Amino acid sequence: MTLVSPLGDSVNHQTKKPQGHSLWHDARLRLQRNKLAMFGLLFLICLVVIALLTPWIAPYNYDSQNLALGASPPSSKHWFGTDTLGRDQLTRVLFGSRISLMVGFIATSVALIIGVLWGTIAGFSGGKVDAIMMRIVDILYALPFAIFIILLTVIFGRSLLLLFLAIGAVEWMTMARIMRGQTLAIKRQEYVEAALTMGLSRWQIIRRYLIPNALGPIIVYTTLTIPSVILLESFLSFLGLGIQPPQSSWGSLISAGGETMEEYPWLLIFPGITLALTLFSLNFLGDGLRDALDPQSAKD
Amino acid sequence: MLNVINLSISFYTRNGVTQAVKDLSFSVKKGETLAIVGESGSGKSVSCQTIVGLVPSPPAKVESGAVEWQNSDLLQQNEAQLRRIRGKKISMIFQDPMTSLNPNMRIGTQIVEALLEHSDAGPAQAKQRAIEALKEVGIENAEQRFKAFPHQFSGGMRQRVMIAMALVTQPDIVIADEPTTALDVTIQAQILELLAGLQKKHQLAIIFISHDLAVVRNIADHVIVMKSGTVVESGSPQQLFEQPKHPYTKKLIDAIPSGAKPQSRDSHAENLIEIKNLSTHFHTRHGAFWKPVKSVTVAADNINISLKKGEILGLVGESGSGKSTLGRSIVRLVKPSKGEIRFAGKNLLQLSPRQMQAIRPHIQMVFQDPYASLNPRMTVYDALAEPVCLHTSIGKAELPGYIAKLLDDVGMPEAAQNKYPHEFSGGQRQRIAIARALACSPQVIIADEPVSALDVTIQEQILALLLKLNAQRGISILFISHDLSVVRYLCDRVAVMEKGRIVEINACEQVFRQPAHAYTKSLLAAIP
Repeated sequence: MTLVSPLGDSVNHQTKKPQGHSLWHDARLRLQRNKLAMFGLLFLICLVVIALLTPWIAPYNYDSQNLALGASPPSSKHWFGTDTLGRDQLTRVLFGSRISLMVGFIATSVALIIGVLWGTIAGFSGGKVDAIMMRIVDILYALPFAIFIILLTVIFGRSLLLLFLAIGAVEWMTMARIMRGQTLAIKRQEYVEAALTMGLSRWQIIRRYLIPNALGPIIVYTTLTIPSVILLESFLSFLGLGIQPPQSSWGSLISAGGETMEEYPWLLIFPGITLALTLFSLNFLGDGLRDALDPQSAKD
Repeated sequence: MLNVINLSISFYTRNGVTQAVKDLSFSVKKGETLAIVGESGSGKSVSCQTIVGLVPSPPAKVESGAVEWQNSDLLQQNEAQLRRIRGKKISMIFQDPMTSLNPNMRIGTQIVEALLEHSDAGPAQAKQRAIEALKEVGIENAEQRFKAFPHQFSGGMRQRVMIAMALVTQPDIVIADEPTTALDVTIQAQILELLAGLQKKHQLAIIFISHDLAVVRNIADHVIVMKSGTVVESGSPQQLFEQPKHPYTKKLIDAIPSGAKPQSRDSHAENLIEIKNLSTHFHTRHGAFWKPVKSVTVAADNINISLKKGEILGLVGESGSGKSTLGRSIVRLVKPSKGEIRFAGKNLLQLSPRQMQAIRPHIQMVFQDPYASLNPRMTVYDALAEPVCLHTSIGKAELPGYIAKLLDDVGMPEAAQNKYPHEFSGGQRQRIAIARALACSPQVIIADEPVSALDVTIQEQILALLLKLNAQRGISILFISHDLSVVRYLCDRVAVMEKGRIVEINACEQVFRQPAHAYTKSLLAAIP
């Protein structure tokens, strides 16, 4: 993938094949011209590749302890230092990225898909359907989150799958509310009425008119959701749902590092930096996507 | 009184420098009305906003010129000095009174605020003067209405409030930027009359900005015609209308729809759409949900009307008369309460959604606002391909050719298909919207105020396009409009609506020459 696509390339494309000239195609070209967003994307891709390869490239085993070593600062043998039990911090960050990225992306996708569909259907249908769907959201909102999670753990026991479900079950509600608000505004636009008189089905209108025009706030909220989900995971792990030591995640490493911050700062710094870089990349990419998907934003 | 001398304004943007106004000079005297006429983008609003320092700079920059007023140059004043002049000595009236009044503030408070800022009146005195000002612009029960919010007024009443607010500080000059463009013709006539009366009383100088030469003709003492930032012609309205010198002025005058449609149609053609006893009620619930208060608005009341094959039927009335509701009932965007709409032997109101889908390609709609009626995230090609793929058997291979032909039919270049709606002007967008309506070769087009958002020269082009489509393809058009001169130019028959009822329906010329109903007469009298 090239970082900057030459302008001539897109011009040729236009004259050759008008069919491929859709919103998504244009968005890709525009995204490719946004260097910051491409940097973010590249960083995220590298991170995912490294996370996938971790079992083979990690310098140590994630649960091998060296109590004699204890907590040692970064060195040539242990780049990120070791924790109080003498476990290599780099290895733990690498293994942690597998959990954190998986939680971040899967739970957010679950929230995104349910939330967007729920909000769009409620907003577009209006009337009783809308009232019932949104009251369900209100009721779920009112349930205390921690009690809800503990109940889930009691009933189903702990598993990674349940972790995704629990997070998804919380995050989609805000998404649904945002999407419903957007839908209510967009469905009064004349172009949606024009689509109705053209005889498009409801599903076609939702897919081609409502969702593309509501993407801006949704993308921004998504990029905000991923980091909050990653941190939420550490809270859930603390409650006993999700992962347990010696497994690690960024959230759990950071909360553990926070406790020993004064004596062993490297235990907090390295997972902190990794998380921060990921969030930066996500925000750059999110902003880039939002601009790229809006044909009215500046042309280049 | 106010002299503008060689004013030049440019906009500096990333895409380069645009000269918005070139060497503009004019002067206004006490008690005189100067009209500045031009299309959107001609620089008429920008130059007047510059006088009171309302143009954001950057991107705008005054390149040269001076605005002389009371022995000083307004362009050299700083913001604090300008604020003392703006609103006190020079007031503005804007086009849309809904957006230029603060919706969260009682109108009385807004007027009093202007007074407290600009005069030494105390709160009690200010309130008194505000109420007087409201009375002066013809608002009844001014004491009670003083406490009302802007949304509780109709469009015309809001514009009156706006005028009261502009005049309460006793300014010398009023700049009115398209003050009647958003209003119905009868309301427009009232507002123009009000302005003229107030001008006489207070010896105001008025700068009246408009795109509509017809409006300007009766009220201006002097007219400036602007095009792309330069003055192409100026003079008294009589001079301008009787002996226009510049070709652009001629074009503007010719574009005012006048006269009637030449050929008369066979009135025995068969009925394409028949509407029988149609009533539409809107039910609204308000109040708390455990104690709802139900109210009913009658938008259409027992309407009987038919659209003949190949005819253009005009539907006129003021806003709120139910004319849009009637048009939208036919395409089932609103659900009528009772009655029949018959098309091709079927009652459209009894069809299932699936059966209705089969009818939809034959009845298409063109909307008022070309900025809102196209999906901003779809290219023109996709927007046009959508109905074609949905309703016709045209295959993928023939599609590009078909769409190029559609664009050609509405006078757009083929290259337009890869662009997005925002890259076009209002008139071009309306052409695209018409192309979309034509995409599945409909028998009927319902056009809901299709030209009222457009400049007068563009308006003429769109009307000519509609006439051409009607003549060549034999498409019947239900043309909904509040503009009687446009209707006279375009339509074979006219139906006049008032408060949900059709009060008169007849051949176009008949209605204009010998209006039968009092309401029709009042509409005709209000044409500027």
